[in-house]
Amino acid sequence: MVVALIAGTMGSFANTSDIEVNADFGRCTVVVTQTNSDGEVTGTALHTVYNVNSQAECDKAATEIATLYQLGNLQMK
Amino acid sequence: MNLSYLYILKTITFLIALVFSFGSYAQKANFFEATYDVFYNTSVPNTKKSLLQIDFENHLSTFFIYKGTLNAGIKKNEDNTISITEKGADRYIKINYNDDSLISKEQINGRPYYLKEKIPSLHWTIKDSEIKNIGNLKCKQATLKFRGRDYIAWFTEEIPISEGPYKFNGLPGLIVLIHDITNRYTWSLTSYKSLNSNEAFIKLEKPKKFININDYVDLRYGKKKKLNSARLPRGIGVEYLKIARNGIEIEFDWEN
Repeated sequence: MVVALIAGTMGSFANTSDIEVNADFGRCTVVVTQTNSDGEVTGTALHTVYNVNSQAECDKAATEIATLYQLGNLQMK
Repeated sequence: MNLSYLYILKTITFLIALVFSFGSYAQKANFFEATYDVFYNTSVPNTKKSLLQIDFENHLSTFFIYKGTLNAGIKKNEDNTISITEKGADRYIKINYNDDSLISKEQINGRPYYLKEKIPSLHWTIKDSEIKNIGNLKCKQATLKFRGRDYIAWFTEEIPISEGPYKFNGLPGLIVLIHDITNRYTWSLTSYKSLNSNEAFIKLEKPKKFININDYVDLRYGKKKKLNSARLPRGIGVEYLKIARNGIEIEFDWEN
């Protein structure tokens, strides 16, 4: 089993500095924060992306998730 | 004419002048308009312009809040977080002293709602010793606890109009500056003028349906956000976090 430590930016890998990514069961978290027009947070969703083996895969997943929100396929209600 | 008669005459003249001078600001003109800058130091700090329009003739006061600086949209940030900003809209708060009603147009989840409630009773504490000049206006301090937040207001008796921004009213002068003690929400007067006509006043749309304050609290804070997870790609899970109340109003009478 290969275990890699990927620093920081991997998803908001949630607010931690080092994230452990397991090559077999690696995962990253993409935090989605919704605010209203007053800048007040109205919703937060944590998307866990499973089977991620690298920072690049996490970046790709985050982009896909953002696209789903942009297309309206995902909406926080 | 003896001296005591002269004294009485002078006193009466002075009292009449005093009554007229108190009423003059409001009574000379039947309408009044003031602008305020609004600063919300929230998770995404933003500013807005706002306008207070008062119709003394009809005992109406309307506070308009314009859309502001935040643009609606979805943004993926470099750290792989995603920020969604809901669509904003112009809103207003209309106080009608004839029927003791306050109507506010709210925007929740990108949809407009019209909230109707009684004019809230505001229990101000005026601090006569706390005085400062804001611009060229001599202001006095007042404090208030309103729906879960503590406020400090500076009002001026030089403009004896008991109104102010948002839902704040009832002081013996116009509110020049008001903020909550954490400085999350601030309203500051930028201009004011009396008007002889209300021709330039903004015409409000007639709400078709109202919600009450309990409905508002449910809509704004009651439901945990949801997502249609069937639309999530395989291999991606989702969990929602409960959001603490974080608006201007966070506590309500029936909860105490």
